[in-house]
Amino acid sequence: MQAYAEIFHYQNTSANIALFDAVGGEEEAFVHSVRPFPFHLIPAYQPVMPWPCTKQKIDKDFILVCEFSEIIGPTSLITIPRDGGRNFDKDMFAVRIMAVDYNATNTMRCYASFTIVEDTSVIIEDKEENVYAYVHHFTLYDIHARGYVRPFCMAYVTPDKNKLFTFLEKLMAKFKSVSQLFRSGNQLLFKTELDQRLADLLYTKDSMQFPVATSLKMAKSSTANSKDNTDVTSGQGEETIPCQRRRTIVENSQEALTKAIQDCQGMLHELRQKMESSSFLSKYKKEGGSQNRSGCDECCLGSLGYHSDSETVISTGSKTNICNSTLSKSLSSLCKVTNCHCNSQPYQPKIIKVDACRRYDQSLRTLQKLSGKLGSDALNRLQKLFKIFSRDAVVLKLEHVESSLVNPSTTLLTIGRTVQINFLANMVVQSNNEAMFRHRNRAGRTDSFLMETPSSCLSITSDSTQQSFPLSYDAEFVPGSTAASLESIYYDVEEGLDDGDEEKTQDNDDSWLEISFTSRGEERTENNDENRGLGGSFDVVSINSHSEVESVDLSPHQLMNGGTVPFVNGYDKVVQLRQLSSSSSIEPVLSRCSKVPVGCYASRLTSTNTDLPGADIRAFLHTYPFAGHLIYALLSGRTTIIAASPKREKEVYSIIRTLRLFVPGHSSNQLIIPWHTMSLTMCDLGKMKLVGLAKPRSLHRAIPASVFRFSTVFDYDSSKLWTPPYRGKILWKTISQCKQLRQDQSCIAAIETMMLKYSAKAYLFYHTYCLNSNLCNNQSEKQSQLTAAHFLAKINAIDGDAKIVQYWVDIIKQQQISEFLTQTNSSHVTKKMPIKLNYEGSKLYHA
Amino acid sequence: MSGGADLAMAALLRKKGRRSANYKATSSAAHEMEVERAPENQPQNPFTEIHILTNHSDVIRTIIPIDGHRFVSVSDDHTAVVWSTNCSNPLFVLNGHAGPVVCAMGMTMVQYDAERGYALKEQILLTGSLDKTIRVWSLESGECINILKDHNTYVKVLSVSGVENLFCAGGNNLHLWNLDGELLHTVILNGEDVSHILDVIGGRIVVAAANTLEAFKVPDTPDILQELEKIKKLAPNHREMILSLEMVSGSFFASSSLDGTIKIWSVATMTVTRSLNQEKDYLLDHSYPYCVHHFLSVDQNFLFAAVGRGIALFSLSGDCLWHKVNAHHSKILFLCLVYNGMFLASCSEDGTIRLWGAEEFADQPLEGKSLLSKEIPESSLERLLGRSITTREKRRLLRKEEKYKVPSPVLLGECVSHSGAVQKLLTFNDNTMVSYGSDGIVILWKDGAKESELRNDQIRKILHFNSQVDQSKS
Repeated sequence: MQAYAEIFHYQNTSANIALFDAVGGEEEAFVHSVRPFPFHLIPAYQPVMPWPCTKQKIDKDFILVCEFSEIIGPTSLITIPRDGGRNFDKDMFAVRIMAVDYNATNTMRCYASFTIVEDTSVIIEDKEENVYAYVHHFTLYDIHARGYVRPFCMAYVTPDKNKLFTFLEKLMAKFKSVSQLFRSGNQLLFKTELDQRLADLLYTKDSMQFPVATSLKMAKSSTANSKDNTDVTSGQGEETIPCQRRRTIVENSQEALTKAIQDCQGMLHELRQKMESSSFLSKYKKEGGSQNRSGCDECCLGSLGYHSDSETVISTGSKTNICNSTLSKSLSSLCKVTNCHCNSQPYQPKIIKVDACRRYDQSLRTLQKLSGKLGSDALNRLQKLFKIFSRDAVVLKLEHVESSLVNPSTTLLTIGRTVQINFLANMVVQSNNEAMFRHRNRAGRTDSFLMETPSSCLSITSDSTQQSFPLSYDAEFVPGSTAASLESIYYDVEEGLDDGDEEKTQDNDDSWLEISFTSRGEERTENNDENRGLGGSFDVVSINSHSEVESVDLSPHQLMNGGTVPFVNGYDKVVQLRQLSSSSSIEPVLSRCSKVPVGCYASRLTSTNTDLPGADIRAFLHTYPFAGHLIYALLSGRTTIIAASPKREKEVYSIIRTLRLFVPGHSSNQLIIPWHTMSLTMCDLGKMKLVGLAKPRSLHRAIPASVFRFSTVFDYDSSKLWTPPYRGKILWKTISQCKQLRQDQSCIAAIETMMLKYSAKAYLFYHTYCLNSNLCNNQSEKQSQLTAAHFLAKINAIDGDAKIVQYWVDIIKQQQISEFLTQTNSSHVTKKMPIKLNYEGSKLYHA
Repeated sequence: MSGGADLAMAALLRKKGRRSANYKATSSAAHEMEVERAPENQPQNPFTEIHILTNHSDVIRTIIPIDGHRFVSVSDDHTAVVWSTNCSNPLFVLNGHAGPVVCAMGMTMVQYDAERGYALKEQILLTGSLDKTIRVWSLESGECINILKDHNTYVKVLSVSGVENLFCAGGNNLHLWNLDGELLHTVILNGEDVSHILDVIGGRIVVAAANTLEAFKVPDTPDILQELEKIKKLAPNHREMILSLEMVSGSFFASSSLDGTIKIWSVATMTVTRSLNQEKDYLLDHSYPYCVHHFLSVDQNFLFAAVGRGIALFSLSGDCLWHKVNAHHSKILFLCLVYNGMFLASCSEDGTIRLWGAEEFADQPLEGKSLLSKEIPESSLERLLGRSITTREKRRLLRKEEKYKVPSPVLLGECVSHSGAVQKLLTFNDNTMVSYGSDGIVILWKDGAKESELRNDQIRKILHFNSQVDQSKS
């Protein structure tokens, strides 16, 4: 509450708005108010002041990726965002942060043997510059680089010291996951390259010992491989190629060759060990070729087409009994990952110079290329990471606080898909039913209470290092029809938007949208799922994002590009089957979650996305004087129909977008129907709460009398509204306050304050009235006279306000009951929410 | 009701009836009268929560109560569905008939266990279909126990016979069955199909076919030949089709017809004792404005009758005591006392159910309407009117004070949810009412406030349950 008030205040002051600036009156204020530019219209070029009076300081966060280049030393590579830290000497900073880790890499280099280095991280503070940075060092391997190592580091640079320290753990986890992606991709690639190098070396050695045989063999294979130019080249090949080759062979000394082979094998051994211990890669291998039990190295070797002249092959330590088909298959799968060779043709070994020193004549590969496809995934993730953490610390903190409200999901109240309050968060009801609560130890898992959430749904991979991460706020999987997950960034999943949604997500390339909505596949049989799970072949998550972090974000792009995901009408239905890593003895556990993304108001307020619930709320309030009655209808759970002629579909869409801010609950994905083209029935009233309705000619043809009676109807064409009047105080007060504000964001903050007022009342009503058995059991007492209405009047919720509070509590009650029934498998009891009939007569309002 | 009060009430109502002459006298003039609108906000209407039961893909033929909380709906989609009033999912969907299911009846099958010396009782359900079969279902498992085919004709109506384990089925002919599935007797009726069968006291049944009524004797001892014995044809006939046939008291039953006439018959003599609502010009361009689709007996002395679009209250002595000519916009199809007898509900072709009740509560919200504070009147009518007749009122009645007004039911609420005619209404102990309409859906009507309290209880139990689980874990 306090924090929201803070934001509210911040919004107002920063926009230089005086709350009670009565100049010009409401109408004028509305006309003259300048709406802030949408994000994409903000000019990219913002001139820097040429004469800075003070020392240049950074005022915004950025992420810096640096490399210790073997030619020019520490240098900055990538800045996120592109213009981040403009006034900041990044190269200088790079020198500083690379120097921290330099010793570590240096000692590694001094060792004769090749070892794989773990990440290191450090916090750097620069008081002069007022800069604080979290620096994450990691090392990638490059066959062309000196000592085969390429030291990199990522730094999160911020002027906000508190933020850095408050969210350090999360930041670390996030950066670690990014680095993991980089390194995994890099290891796969490096191993392929080492294998090739080894093949080359062996071939060179071979051709030194038996120069003629190899050259003949070579010639043969070349003719076999390239059928087009056999006749042209084969004749010359026999003469020219051996000449070149002989020259190279002479240059290679026998000793150097043997040493190089040994080195190479040593490195491969080290790498293989490392990769086998990595659960991610082993999981990957299992996917790649289910039949292939041997390592990838063998397949590469075998498919090289290199003849198994017993000696050499044995020296590489690999077995010869390799089925060629499976090998090429697994190689191709490997290629898919590394994205280096898209053809599955076997590698042609060539004669190389062993002692060739690096000449620095060609520049080394970039960071992205070093990690293959996973490299770009990692960079995308870094982008996203920046978007999460670059926001204000207050927002982050609020998100953190509210993320704990998500569990237990059955008592989570959301309005407009934003978290309001959880009626039973962190508490345990005493068994004596006296409505006493004690706070639960924060460390304790709240999910053991109430509507148990099987832990399988929270832990996605069983990597022990990953599980120790703090529960992040960006994907909490809670099962159940009414489950929700709080996302750190504001979700914008349009339910029922069956067209245009795809475009939208494509357009929003800044990935502010994140769908990780999985639906409970009730239509699937249990067996079916189990089979798939045991097969381990269906793992949406790892296919799409190849990562090992505790929660994997499925962005819509990935989902759509993935192709493996059943995408229904372009929106969010993914059956998610996850598997614990096979390294543990635990059986594969599946999570079939119906996950509804919910957001945090703080994120909503700071988001620059113009397509979020509540957009244009100010304009709406000003245009329609009866907005209060309409909002009351939504808040009190009365089905609200926005009827318009078919050509006005777009306008209705935008009104629905504005109004969805006020739709309580998140249980059904049919709560909001942006465009409905059929006549409504009474059954629809039960599930739909906000409907855009195509009205062919007359209103009454599309809405039967019975439906009309129990719903609020807004005829958009004629700006008429039929609804019961709102009699109450809280809503009117907020609306008149909103009308004086000049920004949507401020309005939404004010509305949120109002929602919290209602939530607090609902909380009180739930705990002291609904859960209080004393009120009902002691019939003899006068207390039995105390009805719900009386109680609500006591907590200052009367008439309309009381109805809102009651409806919100009803939602929670329904969620709890239906979840309980689902768990106890009682099919013969009503799970559906009953349709409430409010006999209050509708009144007609004109705009 | 004590004898004195009964007398006073009758006197009171008679007086009222006299004042308003006869129903028919004013009815023609009343055609132009506007239909009353339900009170604003309907504070009296307790039915604020509904569940829509949709399982039928075709027209529903009827709904029949089974016991305190269960009922069955039968439909042209060849299925019958057993429902419970506390669930919106079907308990059983009875599949098997090859034609539309048109009638159903719940029965108790009694099997004597000679060795152990007690009777086994099993609840069963019978469904009659146009596929020329009757199926017997177990209400415990939902399984089909028996298929009766011997009658070889369609069945339109099923009825208990008044004799244990025997039942009657009517359609083209009239059949007597026992529950073992034996067809005991068939009476060939030359003429119209049987539309109603009424089990009257003394092992007799009255069968209505078109406009005629006929009485039969059911054999009540297993020794004699088990045949339906024809007693007599009831005379005189109705002028038009019989729409309703029901008992009104221990010694009278009544039949109502399309022409508007309600005939009260004596059970003992099987003769007409009264003929109510006789209307000469009943046809009126074949619109039958006075047709009585249904009537409802109250306190053995009174009849609420759905007369066309209106409701009338008759005493069995033949007086029209109260009437509301334009109670609905369309014809009323069914009448029922609901919510513990506090309301008279009328279902109409206009798609609404209207609730009628005591005037004195009309302005108060429902929460204030508590009869607990007063004595609960024994008489249904008194309960409906919300008051008992005091001694003072009796005195005034005896003095025949003209100023004294008779209490009468007023419109308290209107339940709209069906999108077609509301055909029938059932009421259950827990104050739930169930209606079905020509729109093919069944609606459960519940008291929202009460349901909310019940849910509170449920949640307390859930939380209690969970905390116990919690404790056992730790």
